[in-house]
Amino acid sequence: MIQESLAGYWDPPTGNNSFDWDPDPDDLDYLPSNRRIEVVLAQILSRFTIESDAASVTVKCDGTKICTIQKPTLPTLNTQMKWLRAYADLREDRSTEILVQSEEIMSPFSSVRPFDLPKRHVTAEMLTLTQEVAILIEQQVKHLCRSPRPVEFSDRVMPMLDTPPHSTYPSGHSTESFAIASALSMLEYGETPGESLSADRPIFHLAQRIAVNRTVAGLHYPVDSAAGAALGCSVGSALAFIASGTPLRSFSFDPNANPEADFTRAALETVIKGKSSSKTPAPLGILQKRWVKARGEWLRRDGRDPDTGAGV
Amino acid sequence: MSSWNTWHDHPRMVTSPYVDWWLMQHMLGSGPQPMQMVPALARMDEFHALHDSADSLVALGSDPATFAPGTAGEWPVFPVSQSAANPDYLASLQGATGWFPDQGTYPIITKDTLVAGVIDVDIGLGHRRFRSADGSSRVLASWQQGTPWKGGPPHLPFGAQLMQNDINALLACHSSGDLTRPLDQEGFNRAAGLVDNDRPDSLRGLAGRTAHGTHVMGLVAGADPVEQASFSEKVQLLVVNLPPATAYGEGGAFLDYYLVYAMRWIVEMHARITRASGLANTPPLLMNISFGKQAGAKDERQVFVKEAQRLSEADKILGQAKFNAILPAGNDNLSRVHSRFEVQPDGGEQTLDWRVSPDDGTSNFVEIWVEKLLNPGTTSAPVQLDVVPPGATPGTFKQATSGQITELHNGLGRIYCDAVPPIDGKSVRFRYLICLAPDLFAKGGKVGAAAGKWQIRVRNADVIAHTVRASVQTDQATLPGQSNARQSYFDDNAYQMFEDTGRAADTFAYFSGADAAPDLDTGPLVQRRGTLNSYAANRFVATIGGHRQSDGRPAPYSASGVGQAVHSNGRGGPTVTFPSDDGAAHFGILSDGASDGSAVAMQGTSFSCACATRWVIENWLAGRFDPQSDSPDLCTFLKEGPLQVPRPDKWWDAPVGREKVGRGRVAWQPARPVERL
Repeated sequence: MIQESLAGYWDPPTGNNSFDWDPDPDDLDYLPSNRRIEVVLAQILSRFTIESDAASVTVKCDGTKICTIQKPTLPTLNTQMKWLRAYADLREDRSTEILVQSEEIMSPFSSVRPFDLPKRHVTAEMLTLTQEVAILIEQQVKHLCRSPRPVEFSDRVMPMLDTPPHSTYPSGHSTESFAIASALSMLEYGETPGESLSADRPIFHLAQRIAVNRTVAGLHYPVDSAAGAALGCSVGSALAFIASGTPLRSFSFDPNANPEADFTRAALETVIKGKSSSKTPAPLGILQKRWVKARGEWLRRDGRDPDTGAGV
Repeated sequence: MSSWNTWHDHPRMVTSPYVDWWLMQHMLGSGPQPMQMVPALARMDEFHALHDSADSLVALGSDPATFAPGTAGEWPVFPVSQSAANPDYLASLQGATGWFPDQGTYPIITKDTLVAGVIDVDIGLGHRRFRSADGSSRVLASWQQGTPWKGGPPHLPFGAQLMQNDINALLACHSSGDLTRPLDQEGFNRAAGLVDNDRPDSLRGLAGRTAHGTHVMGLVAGADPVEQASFSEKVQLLVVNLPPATAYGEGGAFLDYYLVYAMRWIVEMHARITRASGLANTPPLLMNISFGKQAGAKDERQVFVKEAQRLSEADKILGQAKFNAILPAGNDNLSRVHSRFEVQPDGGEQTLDWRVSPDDGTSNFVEIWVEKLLNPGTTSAPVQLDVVPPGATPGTFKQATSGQITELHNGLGRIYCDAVPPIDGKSVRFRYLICLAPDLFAKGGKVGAAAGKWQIRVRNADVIAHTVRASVQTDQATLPGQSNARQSYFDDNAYQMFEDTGRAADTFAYFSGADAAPDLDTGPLVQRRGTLNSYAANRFVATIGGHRQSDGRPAPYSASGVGQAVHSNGRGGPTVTFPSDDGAAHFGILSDGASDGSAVAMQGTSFSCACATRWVIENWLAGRFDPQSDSPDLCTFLKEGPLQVPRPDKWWDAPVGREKVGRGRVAWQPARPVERL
């Protein structure tokens, strides 16, 4: 009734508004955040390929190798069980943060670098996108590396949380944390993961702690975390490559090279240095616009260019 | 994993292997904070309060450059935060006739005074229960050892000193000039140096809800200044606020030196005040030291215990206040930090598993002592050691001699071998100190010592059997509030963690109607027996364990003795116990909180210890005990406590073990201003 009573007589197209309509295909501002992510996600995933053989899994971006991780052998995982025993001693100390991180891992990062503010909503969106990409790739890699969880080796692990049904290797929490840290360090500082760690950026220490907490909880071996760090750094760096053309980097990890190894700060340094690639960038337009906006949300104090990250 | 190099001589600049290790790890400038070396007061061998005690101290010097390793002998020094240290300490003592100046201004006391010395941390000096009816402080003098140096009395080696008139002036300043008006407590605490927010390594306990030392002093001497005016007037206080735990070094190694200075300061100050007051008879002095650490000789070879022995002997020589010190038994009973075993002669071996936690940002230490006293001059260790890193295969045993060390690659570990004499030098006992670097270095990507299961293998190289004790040293964080210090522990399959009911297993079960307390501490390697606080496992002090007030159950955390004195000056269990918990659902006991007027519950033998001190004071007030008397002496009188104080009807009819409760349980704690629900 309201339409009839207020609009009166209506006989379109007579009286229609006249306007220009030439939408920019790279403009996603008209969409809500979750829809933007859905649009971009499919296009981003088409840039990745995952290959596997008997001993390893390789992830490529635009046909270039960005991550190679060897599959762990059973003896390697069996040896790693000693770390499950050692880290179980930290459960009382870590229980609160472990329970929080079992639900979500974004808020720990936003407590270190505040991107949960209205003025940094594009950064938040880019990091959510990063995590989505990481999850989809990590699940593929997990499936191809399918490995038994610690509870399969011993009924004394008694994890603090339900053991997920998917493969232990590589760790999803580690992959996502390092992907987020890599993307965030690129957005704020224009740094590679190795550069950020050398600069003692706490976001990488946080990523490591989130990963180690899964060992404390009884769900992962240290080699899961190390492989996740390699995969996560490759995803975060590849996303920056796709969005803004920063150089691709490749990462690798072999769990069987040192089955005794823990995932310590020193071990992390080796994993996340990576190697640069000369792959010619082909930025994805719809992502590039949002990425540039996100970079602009961080106030530069070090003279770097907010668009390119280049030093001045 | 790297292995240990061969035992080799290691001339040390410093006496303590802990300090030597600390210097290797941090040096003076690169640790958590800049440090300055301060002479350890224990070197003042000829102790004479009021006399020429400074000479030997001055002779030591303080310049590390003058102490080249191996040339000038050992250097009895320890590192103190540079911000707190008096840069001219030694120079100020040149020509002095004693540690304290003769011409100082000291408060006056009457002949009817008892002086309670309280050595603790975070003691709130402004609380009304520590003041008299007119609002003036009952604290005769206080020494804040961790407060930044601001040009205090030149004889003070570090920190700041407040005499009674200084405290009253500060109280007045923060009470609108009138001592009976409400106190701006936060302003007072900051002005008095009790709370310091300017430095990351400073004390801030009094800015929180609970404060250990305030709770302790509330139990020892807290009193309503009006309703308990007589108590307030007669019981005066000497207070030492220790620095934050971060100043003690990662294994608490420097705590000994701070405590020695604190005890000396109280004794000296008490003597000066007595003389300034013109008293013919020395008023009694009781010291409450609710502190401790786990590993040590547990006899007079330890720095703290050596000083307690000196002080307990000096009172007889000099006719000054008798040395009456009351300490807690400790709370490590269930921490799996103690092992005692025998190794058979001619190659008998024993292996002890030692768990080092990951994410540990501090060094870990284990002390291994051979119990047998050997002749002075013995240099060859009677037992040999092989410490196996996680995942490594056992090495070979090699003979060590006193003064030698063996090291892990890259400075990640070191074992010191020492033949340690007591004061009289009539014997030596062998000690191995195993030091491991942190497994986590926060910066620089440095690889730490591996976490996981280490194995300590002990082999008897002698022709007689030897009893060996191993203790994990108490672990300390490097900054207040940090959780980067993780206590390592011994692991043994035969150690019973829980009773069948699921209750954490104590040394003994507590069963009504049992003939004797059922022994649950039967593991061959890792035992609760022997976990007594290493400062309190000697006969020079009274040692107080804890029990639960509601049913008399010994507190499971309250440390146990080994049952008999291993050496002539040792002890086999606590003297007695006092309450450390009110009930099964009421953990801890009530006393003063950090804020004036608040009451909080805190749990542990620190507080049962404070109850014991208060009980002795109340008995002195009632004329039933004189702390200056030798008959009975303090320990003897405390042992009468279980007979003097009626056993509550509601207690279980369950036997208790002497290793846990000594001569028994004293069902007494100070009257409190509020009750628990």
